Amino acid sequence: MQLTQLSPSQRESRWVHPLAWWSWGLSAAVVAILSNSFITHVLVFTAILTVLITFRSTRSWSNAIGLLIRLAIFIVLFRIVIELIFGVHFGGPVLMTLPVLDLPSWLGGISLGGKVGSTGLIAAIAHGFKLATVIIAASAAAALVPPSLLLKSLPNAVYEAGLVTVIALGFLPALSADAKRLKTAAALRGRPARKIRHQLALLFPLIENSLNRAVTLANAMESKGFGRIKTAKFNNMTVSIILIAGMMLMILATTSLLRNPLSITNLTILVLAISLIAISVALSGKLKLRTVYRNLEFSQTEFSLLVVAMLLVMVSALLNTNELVKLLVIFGLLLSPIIICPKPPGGLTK
Amino acid sequence: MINFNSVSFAYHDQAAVIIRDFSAQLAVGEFHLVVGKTGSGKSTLLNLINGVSPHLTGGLLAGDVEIFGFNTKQFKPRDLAEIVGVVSQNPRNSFVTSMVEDEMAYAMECLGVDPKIMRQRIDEAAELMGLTEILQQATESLSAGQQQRVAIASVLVNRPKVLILDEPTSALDPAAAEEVLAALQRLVHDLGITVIAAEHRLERILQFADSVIYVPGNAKPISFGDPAAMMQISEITPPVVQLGKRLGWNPLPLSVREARKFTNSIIQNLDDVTQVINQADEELVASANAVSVRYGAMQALKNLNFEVYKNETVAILGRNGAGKSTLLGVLAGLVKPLTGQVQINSLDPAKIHGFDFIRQIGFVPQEPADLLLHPTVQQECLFTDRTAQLPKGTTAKMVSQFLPELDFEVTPNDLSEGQRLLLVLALTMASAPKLLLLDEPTRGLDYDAKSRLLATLRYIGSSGTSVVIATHDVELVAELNARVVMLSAGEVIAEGDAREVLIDSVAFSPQVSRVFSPLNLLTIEEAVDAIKLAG
Repeated sequence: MQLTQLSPSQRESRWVHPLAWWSWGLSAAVVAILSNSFITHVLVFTAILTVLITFRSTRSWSNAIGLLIRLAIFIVLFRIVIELIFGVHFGGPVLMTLPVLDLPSWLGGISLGGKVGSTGLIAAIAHGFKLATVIIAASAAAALVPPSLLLKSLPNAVYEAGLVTVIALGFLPALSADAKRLKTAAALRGRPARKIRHQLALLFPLIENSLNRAVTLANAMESKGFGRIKTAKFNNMTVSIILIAGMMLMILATTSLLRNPLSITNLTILVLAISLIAISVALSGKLKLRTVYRNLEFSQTEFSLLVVAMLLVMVSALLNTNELVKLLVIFGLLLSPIIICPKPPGGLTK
Repeated sequence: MINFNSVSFAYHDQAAVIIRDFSAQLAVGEFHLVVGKTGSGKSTLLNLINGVSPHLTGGLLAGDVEIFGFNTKQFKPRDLAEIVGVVSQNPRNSFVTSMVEDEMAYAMECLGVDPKIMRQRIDEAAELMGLTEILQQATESLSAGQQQRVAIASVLVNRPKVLILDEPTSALDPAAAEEVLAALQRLVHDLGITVIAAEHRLERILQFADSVIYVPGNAKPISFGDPAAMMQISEITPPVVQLGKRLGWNPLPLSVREARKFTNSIIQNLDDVTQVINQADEELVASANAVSVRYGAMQALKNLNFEVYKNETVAILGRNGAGKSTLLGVLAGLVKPLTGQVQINSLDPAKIHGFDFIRQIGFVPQEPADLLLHPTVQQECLFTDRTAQLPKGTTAKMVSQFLPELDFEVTPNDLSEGQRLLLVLALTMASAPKLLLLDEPTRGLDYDAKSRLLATLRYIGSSGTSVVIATHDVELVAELNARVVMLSAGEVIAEGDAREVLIDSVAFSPQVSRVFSPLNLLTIEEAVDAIKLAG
């Protein structure tokens, strides 16, 4: 008998833990932040798109890929517009001259428009592209895993909030279908729904439909036993309050850290915030709010992905060799999920 | 055991009493059917069993409802989750997750069932409901029948002793309804689960019932007893029972099989109905030529030809997803065909709007209430007078003709489902369109409302408007004696007079024709006449 090595495509398809994907995506974002070279950004962008396309599935938010590309284009265009209006001519051949608007001195005396140089424009495009790459890298994980699985891996403390979000997202398509149906219905009565007044008239039946749907869902959830297991030493409310306090301190800490790095007060707040969040997560784990069917395991694949993420950060921060070698290493690491990870279930989308 | 001890219920202290002093003991392991008109309190009765009323809906409960010893006054629906499983009227709106397997796991996660045994329970429930092949699919992508079975399976996983279903087959085509009912019967017979279901379409479900709870409405006393006795006093009965009552058959037949015992001996003495084919005019009102429609990967209509002539009524039959609604949409210009042409009186329906549209086409969608835009009936009438450029009061006259009892200051939302449908029909017909399209008009209607609709449709059919109805309701089609176009997967598979097409079909034949097969009788009147003629 002959043993054959299974290639990734032949392995059983399964979802990779969302946390592993997030770590991979965030490390790619770090790479993009740390580098100022346009070529690096192009490589990171290409690698992320390749992975997104390889792992697309009918059951995740794969349509988000198109959305992400559109977002990238928008960011770059926006950066160019900013450059055209506020940019100062540094040098290089002048490409065009826009009408100049000199702002009065009480507005800073800036002049808008004027000469647009090639150097400034190229810098603007590169900068816009960097921004786009960072944002797409950081949000790529959301397009790789369906929202219901993200929900499964949430700690109990935020489970209910997560559930509400997922259900609300599920309502959106239904809501837009309702709106379309009502608009058609109005046209069937001989009323074109063009005027705003007419659009507003659709609002009440729309709200009524949504409420009916919500009541049906609430009844169904109640009858299935939602919210039954709650009794433990600490009730749900306490856990939520600790969590919210932790989150708010976290926001305070990060904003002040951005302004004034490394003061003792800031660090204390940060430590306090992290420990509050940790406490609430630990407590909620003890609550045994629910059990989870087919919870995703953190197996070898996921650990490999974590290692890839760590290597990515280390290489881009510390490695000082030949630029080309470094680029190739980064590109290879970013693409490694294609070999490491199994394909997601659910057929490919178009 | 489910005990009702002198139960009364009202939604608030000033509201009408819905259920008054009801006492009954429902036996375990049986199929109990709740029968009653729309708005009679059937759903309220179901809600009382696991405490959704009054815990979630609010209201005042007097007396006690006890289910396996648990009093619903002390226990909330969530506390009874292992005992009672509930499948709501619209399963699609009750799904919490987006995938079949997750939906089935959800109820167990809520109760904290050990994940190790979840897998086995899901497999068993899927096996029982015939869902094994579609465990990994999105609930959105399923047919109505599959969604109904997923909803049942997703409460079965908690091994309930009682299963409550509100109109489990109303939205289903005959074949899908049979699948769901067969599955329910398996639960009762093999697993000893008690099933309590409310349903309008008695012709489908009555034969499975071990007992019937008859809810007459208006707080009149609820009766509970064996099906035959209840059908004697019930105002709503399926065609086969009506036939038995008319012909004085005793014992009263509840199913086609029981009725055959009476007809087997007399069939050879009876004669076929001599074909009186409604001669339609030559004048073409609407046509679709080689029309194809595609939604994503699914081809909804394939190269379809369809004509409607003046003064004719056409019924489009077919299973859920066969393309019936799409065809109506194409005829009304709401769905743009990929290829082919559509014409209404030589106009393109997609290009006419406002006044021109309502003079040509009337469309009553699946949810007729969508067409109602104003707070009172009076305002609705004035609106139609304006848009159709009619003298003031014309629409109101039409509404009074269809609904003589209606108060014009009432809010359309407060009308019963049947009244609302007739109101929408009147508003649509006021502008005298050449073509009237109805999508599934009898969904959720009781027999009373259905016979009113039938009379109205016959009137409309004779007034110069051509009618096209997409429906599952074979009994309605038989009564209308319409021309039938049968669709399957976007293609016409049979076409002709109702008598030819329905009698030839297994799934789509009306009860009377099954009782009198191989004769070509379709309706009770025809059967009674045939027997009279034979003496």
